Formats: sequence, C-alpha cells, structure tokens
Amino acid sequence: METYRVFYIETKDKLFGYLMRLTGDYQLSSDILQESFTRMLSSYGTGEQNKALLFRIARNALMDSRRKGKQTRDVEDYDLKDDKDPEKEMMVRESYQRVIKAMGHLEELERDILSMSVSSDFSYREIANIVGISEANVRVKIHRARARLKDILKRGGKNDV
Amino acid sequence: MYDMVSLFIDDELTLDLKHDFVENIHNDQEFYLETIDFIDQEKLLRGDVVDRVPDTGYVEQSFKNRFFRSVMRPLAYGLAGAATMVLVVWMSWVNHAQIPAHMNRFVIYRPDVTKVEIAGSFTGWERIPLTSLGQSGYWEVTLEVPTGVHRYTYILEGETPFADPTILAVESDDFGGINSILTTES
Repeated sequence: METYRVFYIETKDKLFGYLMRLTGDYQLSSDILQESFTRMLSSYGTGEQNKALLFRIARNALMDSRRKGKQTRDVEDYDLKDDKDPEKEMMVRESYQRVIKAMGHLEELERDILSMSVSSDFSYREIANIVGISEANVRVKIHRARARLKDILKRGGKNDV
Repeated sequence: MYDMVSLFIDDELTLDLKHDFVENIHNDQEFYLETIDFIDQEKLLRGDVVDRVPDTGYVEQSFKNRFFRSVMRPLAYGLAGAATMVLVVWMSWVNHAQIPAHMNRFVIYRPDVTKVEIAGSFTGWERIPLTSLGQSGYWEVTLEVPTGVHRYTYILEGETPFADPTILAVESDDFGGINSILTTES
C-alpha cells in the first residue's frame, strides 16, 4: 500500500495537469482524477503502477463522464467550448488562463495529445498506444496543435483569444 | 521541416535528425526565430495550471464517496458557485516548510460572518474558534493534526456547518451535514 501511495503522489499532479489542460474544468478534472485511481485500484489492485495504464483509464473515465453528462445534464455543465465561465477560470492560475482559453480552440484530439505530451514524460510511441493512433500521426498532430496554439495566442493578443 | 521543432522539444530526434536540426538552425534565420518562439511557448504551456492540485484521498473514502456521489455532486457545484464569493486558502500547503508536518493551518475567507469555528476528529469534535485576521475577512487557526485520515467541518455563526470547498473529498455525517476529509502524512 505504501508503494502505491508513492505512485499516487508521483503521478497525480501529472494526471491532473493533463486533465486540466484537456478540459479546462477544475471540478471535472478533480472528479476524473479520483475516479481514475479508484478504477485502477479496484480493477488491478495496488500491485499495478503503470502510468500509461492510469492515463488510459483517465481518458475512458472522462469519456464515460461526458457521455453520462450528456444524458443527465444540460449542456452547459461540461461544454468545453464554454471558455467564459468564471467558476472554471477561477481555479486556473492567472498566468495560465490565456493558454487554457487558447487550447479550447484546438481540435479535440490535438488538444488531448498535446496536453498529454506536455503533462507527462511519455514518448510519442507511448502516446500513440494510449490514444490508439499511429506514432506518425501523433507526431503530425502534436506539431499541428503547437502551431495552431501559436497562431491563436498571437492573434488573441494579451487580453482575449 | 518545422515539425522538427516539436521533435526537438519532445526529445524525439534521432542522431541524424539532430544533425539536420542544427544545420537548419545555423543556416536559416527564420527557422531559428521560429524555434525560439516555440520553445518560449512551450515554457508557458508546461507551467503550473493551478495553484494547488486537489488531494482526492483516493483510497480512504473512495467507496463512501461513490455512494454519496449522486448527493454530493449537485452540492459540489453549489459550493463551487459559493466559492466565487468565498475564497478559502489552504495555507498549510503553501507554508509547508515553515510549519512542522503535524501542524495544519486552516484558513477561510468569510468576510460576511462574525464567528467561525472548526470541529473535527482531530479536535475530538470540540469546537475550536478561528481568529479573525483584522479587517481582511480571513479567519485562521493552526492545529495539531495527527498523521492519518480526519473528518472536519467549519461552523459559521455558531450553528451553520460549512464544508471546506477546497477539499474535494467529502462525506455525509449521520446528522445530514457534510464533512471534509483531510489526509495528513508523516
């Protein structure tokens, strides 16, 4: 149990960073963070400490949550395009708010891959395995996402994107 | 050629590509400037997104939390709304180095009340008053918290329980209230 605690401490910040960059939503990211560790523990026990597996579980949990959210909740709760919600912005560092807003304009898979790349130390091959696309595709999408982000940030200037 | 910049940033260049990359930097001023821009953007991108990552207390309360999730979730959203008004700072994380590991500083921002207390398993559920920090609206108290898992709540005006909005791990108590769950490490 103690070594799992170490795994938890070492990985939770990275996973949370990924979820925040991907969703921009503090509450949702917190829920998925907790759900991911809980799912991993209940399915694999404390012996399994594979970070790639954890990220895969988190992506699935997020997909489940969005699917469920669509059925039971109004769109506004989990609407990723909604970048004007002050409650969501509140928890994001002031210096990062511009980046989160800009990332909201990326295509979903590009945002996912870029978020994963910058939040973890996964190689392109590992990311390809987690996401289920080819390594070459990861390479293309990561750079496209960075280039788009650069354009968006440049166009948006200091105040608004 | 430009996706070499990403390969460079992500440590994915082979030795041959490293050679080409350095050649490009050397020969192409525009490529050089572009690369610098991407690196600066990357520093921004990899910066901290939030001030504090929540401790979800994944093991200790995961099952209870699942059970209460349907009840808790609407409340959590309500709390998030209240939090735009009520900003609570969990200073123990910030000042970790200055306070011994077993001391926790509880800080809450409630300029709209005249009395704040805290009660929890670490106080034997005795109410301990928080001290108002001048006119700032902040209330604070530093308490000894033994290593382990603890439940607690704030009490406003001597009667209204108020769960700590920065602690996402919560559970219902037997009296219809909500307790925050705090896990401390040695």
